[in-house]
Amino acid sequence: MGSYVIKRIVGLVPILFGISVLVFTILHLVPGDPASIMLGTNATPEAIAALRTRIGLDEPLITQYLSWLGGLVKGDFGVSVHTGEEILPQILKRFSITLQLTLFAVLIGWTIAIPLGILSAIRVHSKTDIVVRIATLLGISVPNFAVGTLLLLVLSLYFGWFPPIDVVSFWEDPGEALQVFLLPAVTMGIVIAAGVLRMTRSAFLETMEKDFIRTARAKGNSMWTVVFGHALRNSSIPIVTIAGMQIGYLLGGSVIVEQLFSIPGLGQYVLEGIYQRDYPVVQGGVLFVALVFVLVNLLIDIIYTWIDPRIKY
Amino acid sequence: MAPMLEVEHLSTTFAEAGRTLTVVEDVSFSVEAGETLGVVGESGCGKSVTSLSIMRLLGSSAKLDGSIRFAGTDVLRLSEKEMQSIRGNRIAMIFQEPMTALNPLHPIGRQIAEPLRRHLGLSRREAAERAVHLLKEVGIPRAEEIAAEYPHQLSGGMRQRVMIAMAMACQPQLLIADEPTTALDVTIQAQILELMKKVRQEHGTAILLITHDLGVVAEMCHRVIVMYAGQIVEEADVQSLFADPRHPYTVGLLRSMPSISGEQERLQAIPGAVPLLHEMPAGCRFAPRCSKAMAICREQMPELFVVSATQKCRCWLYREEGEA
Repeated sequence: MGSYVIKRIVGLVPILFGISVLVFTILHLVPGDPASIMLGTNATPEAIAALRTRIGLDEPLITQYLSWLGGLVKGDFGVSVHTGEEILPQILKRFSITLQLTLFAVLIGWTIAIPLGILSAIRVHSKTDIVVRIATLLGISVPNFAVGTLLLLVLSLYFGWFPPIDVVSFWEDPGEALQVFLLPAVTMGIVIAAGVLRMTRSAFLETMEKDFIRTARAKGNSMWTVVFGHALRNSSIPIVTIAGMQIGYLLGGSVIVEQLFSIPGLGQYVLEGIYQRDYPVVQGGVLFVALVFVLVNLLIDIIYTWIDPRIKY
Repeated sequence: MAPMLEVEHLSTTFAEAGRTLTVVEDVSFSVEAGETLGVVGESGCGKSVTSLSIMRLLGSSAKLDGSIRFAGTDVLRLSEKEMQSIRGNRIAMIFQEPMTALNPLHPIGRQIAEPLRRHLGLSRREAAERAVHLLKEVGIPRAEEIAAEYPHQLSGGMRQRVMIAMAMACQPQLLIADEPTTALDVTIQAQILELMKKVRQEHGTAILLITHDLGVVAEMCHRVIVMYAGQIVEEADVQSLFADPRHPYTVGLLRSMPSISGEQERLQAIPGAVPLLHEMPAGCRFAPRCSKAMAICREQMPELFVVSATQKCRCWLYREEGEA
């Protein structure tokens, strides 16, 4: 297991290298020049040229890439062209907010999805099942900007409640943070719940047909023991898989939800970088997101071995 | 002494897509303590559904009629909770596929300990010790180590021994074995049958042995019922069944079994196929495939006629010999 983890981490190097090439190339192919965007439409060509020289944009692409890569190897993500701030501390700060939002959203999503998914599966084709399935379909099909807007409107218009403007972390002020993150987390939680619920239901339906479930019942176990003692763990591989994918994506920053609720997370940071053609910010942000995604996947693979003794690496 | 298990006029029907399908129809039999009753028939003849009916493990779409008396109690009248205290405790079951019948994610020892903890209220430790003891009893070497292993680390024969250890954990009065040797190699089959005999001898367990293998029947059973298309077509003690089979279906079954002695001759397959559940013929269900079918066979369902002290047969050929 230890050697497997080391192998996977070493395997990260080529992946991250590939992503760095890709993001650098694509970004430089996009039309729009950071210098002219920063200086506005009235800037003189001389001023633009001077700024380009200062931030190194007049160098050949390969030189620009290599100098960026050289910095990365030393853990230096560079500075923002726009604000001059160090990028890595900004990424980490934004990531901590995205992380809190994601975990809160996942908590909400799973709390809804897993019990309902199980209930829906063990009472398949019942009225409960039908209601749950319709709700799931709604959760998947309604886009989260619509859900978020609706939540905001209903709560502010009818209940006079607005989430606080300033974002605080859970470890600074849990009560305040709860108010800050509640609406965006519910918005994201609904989408998470829909996906996890579908997977839980179908995984359970399949597991409950298995021979060993019949054996478990033939031993005189109650339905509760059969479901939670035998079926749950046997159904959890696909559930963990989809949950891992979702967490991976969400940790990259949910751009729409962060935008909608003015949460200064990673998604918003990268989005602003794109608007301003702030190359180092976008490159650094995307690379960081890729790293997180790959690490989450590694974690999921390790969880598999803990769930199922037949899985060995 | 009253029989351990007495099934009377059991019918099992399933409601499916607006119609009802009768899978088991008017089946009656009994098994005494220490006795082994074989249930023989092709796939789909209702033998497994019969056994799952006794365990009441068929799910909500199944409707059971008749009575199933186990040690004097009609299990069809028990609540699900009362039934749970019987399953795995006083009636236990062994299934065909030991690979899929064991939970792949739980260690062997824990799976055997489960009914002990559930029914006998043993502590985790006592149950674990007892599980190891049971593994030794069914002839598993290195029982302590095996108890900590998972089903995929064991061979098929070992897994079936584990199933037997699990079934015997609470010393049930009735053991239902549904094709216990079908998925195993021939040499392993013999070992498993020996083990079941040992269990029967030591504990006086009544065994209901479901199989399509007549060799297993000859080896294990005292009496046999032959099922065809959801009905019992012949009931006999094991000697009479092999020496003097009465029902044309039983005769066909025996003829389609290869034998080592005697001349090499072509095996005689029974022509045709088992009728579909919703297309049952009006008269005898075997009539369309029967070489001796008469006019009456296609019109009227024969009863189970008594043909001798130990034999009954559902066939119009024996109307003269006995009465139902």
